Amino acid sequence: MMLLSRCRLGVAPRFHLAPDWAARLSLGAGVQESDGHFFPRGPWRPLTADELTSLTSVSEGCGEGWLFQIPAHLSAAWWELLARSAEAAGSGLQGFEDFSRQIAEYLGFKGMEPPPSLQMEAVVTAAGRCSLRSDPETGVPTGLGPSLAPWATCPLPPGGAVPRLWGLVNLGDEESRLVLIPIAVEAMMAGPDSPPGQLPPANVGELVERFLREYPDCPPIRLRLASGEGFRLPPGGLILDVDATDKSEADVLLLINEQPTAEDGRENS
Amino acid sequence: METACEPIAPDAIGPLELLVIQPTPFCNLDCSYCYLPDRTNTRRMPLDILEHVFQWVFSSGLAREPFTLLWHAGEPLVVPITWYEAAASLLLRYGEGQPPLIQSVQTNATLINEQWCDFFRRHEIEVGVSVDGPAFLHDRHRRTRQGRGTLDGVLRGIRLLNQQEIPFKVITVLTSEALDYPDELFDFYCEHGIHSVAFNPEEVEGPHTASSLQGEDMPGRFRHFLARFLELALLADPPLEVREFEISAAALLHSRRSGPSRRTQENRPFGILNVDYEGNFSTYSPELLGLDSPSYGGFALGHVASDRLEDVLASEKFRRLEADIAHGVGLCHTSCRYFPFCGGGPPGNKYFENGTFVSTETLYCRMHMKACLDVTADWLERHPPAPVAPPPLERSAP
Repeated sequence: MMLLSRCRLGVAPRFHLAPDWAARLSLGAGVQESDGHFFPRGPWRPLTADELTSLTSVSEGCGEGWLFQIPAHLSAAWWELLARSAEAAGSGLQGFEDFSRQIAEYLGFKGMEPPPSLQMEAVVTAAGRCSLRSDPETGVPTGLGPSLAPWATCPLPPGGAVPRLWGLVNLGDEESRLVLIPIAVEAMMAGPDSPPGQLPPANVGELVERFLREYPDCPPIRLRLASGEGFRLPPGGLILDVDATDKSEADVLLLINEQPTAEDGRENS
Repeated sequence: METACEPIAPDAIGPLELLVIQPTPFCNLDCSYCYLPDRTNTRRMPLDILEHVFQWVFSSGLAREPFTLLWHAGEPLVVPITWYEAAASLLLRYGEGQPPLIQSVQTNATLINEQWCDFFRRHEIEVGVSVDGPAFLHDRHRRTRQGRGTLDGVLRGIRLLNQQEIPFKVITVLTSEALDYPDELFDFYCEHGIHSVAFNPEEVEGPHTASSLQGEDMPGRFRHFLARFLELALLADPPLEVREFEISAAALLHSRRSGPSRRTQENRPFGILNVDYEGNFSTYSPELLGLDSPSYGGFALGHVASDRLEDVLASEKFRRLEADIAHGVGLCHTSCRYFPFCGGGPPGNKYFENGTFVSTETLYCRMHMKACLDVTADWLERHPPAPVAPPPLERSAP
């Protein structure tokens, strides 16, 4: 199947970051379903020059995924926060709110316009695990999913004011590997009509499930994020996961979530 | 719009605060924004000329208070240490019984070695290093004549200064692209053991006829940059010293206590004395020395071997210069609400940007004065300095 390039990747403006896309990206063969969950399928290979051009050139009108980087002093602040929390064992991440505020201020200075209603969380994925997500009851990895709230109704409300993952940052020392299928939710909805007798998807989660089942050869992209690097997701969302199978240390990601308020919905409608 | 004025008596000028001596016009680098017109010239100031410089300074009556001797203008470290050792001997001879002076050197640091460190230490020379931050900023402008970046060489020098425990300060030239990177600059300074920084916004000076900071949105971007940088630097542990904050805070706090300031070192006659490698001298902004003007001819006012201060003060050229510069300061006084904190803009910037000393605002004013004062005032409002306890009125009982 051809590489889907509805969303393209670039370096965020006002960041100095060598993307070295050829080394940073690799392409899988498709997805495989297991117990109703979808996981990327290998083998993985480097992208061809044409694929790189198609995926990484920036063009008007497309949602863009942007690489960025937090400065060393904010990475250091994270490790200090962990050290303080370890000393005060058992009382959570003390100072996390202040750290979140510093990250938001930094992104704001850079013109990244983080959402006013953002929430940040640090998520740890154990080394060797193949997914960021897991079933809360069984702990079983649940694989690829939408960056928009899966329970958000389809079609999306006017203005698209639904909770979504705005971006993420690798807070660990080791490289993180994101797995992306860079196609926007709106673009998925514009796909083939539901077969006769089948109702259209009720929500985003169902839409993504149907899409992946319909296109098992849709190639996932693995995006490497070095320590301190971040990725701002395209506003239209995409399908993603994190792959920590080859890691020697736990994957630590700062997830920056947009939580629209009722007012946001009203303003957008 | 030039004017003339009456001759000025020698005791009505100065005191000398800064003596800038150019040991050589040559620089081993070729920075894109350099204002020196003659930086490929490898000649060196003869020691007999240097002797005349010290004779001139100490006999002029200008050295009434402690002052700073700055070796600058060209890369001073391309001149061998033996030359500076000889200079130190001359200083000992001519400086005896005179107000003390502090020697300082402004260098690109690429030539610093252990011998230089030893020299700096022995002669208590204050070191200023010019470095513009991470390679993507520094190497963009600070290059060799072959076009290669110079940051690696600069950092070798900085490492050596740190290893040898030679204190130093840093000057960073800010171009428009640097304004997006306060965090990256802060990280750079921390990583390389830099504890004191000064920002020089890229200026229009001499042959450097345009600045990347001339756009209309630049003052706003500069304020945004400086506010962000101060937030990082002043709240760091230990805080990073930022010259712009120190100067602006002092001006704000001093002015509040003491009223309007006098004319500045740079726009007051013979607050600065600039001497080139041939012994020609000027006053006011150092960048003026060595340049010609249709209105005034060269800005050099004389030669240390032949022209006494009294003769210079009586000269038509100096009187016209001083009248025009004073007129420009007067315009600043009457038109600019920042004057009480500033004392009038630098004449060099006025001349290069506005074409005349009889003028007011420059890019330097917008960036270095107004923006810095505003951002500092804002900071001080949000972080008021601790009140100083008044001295006890009476000695406490034992």
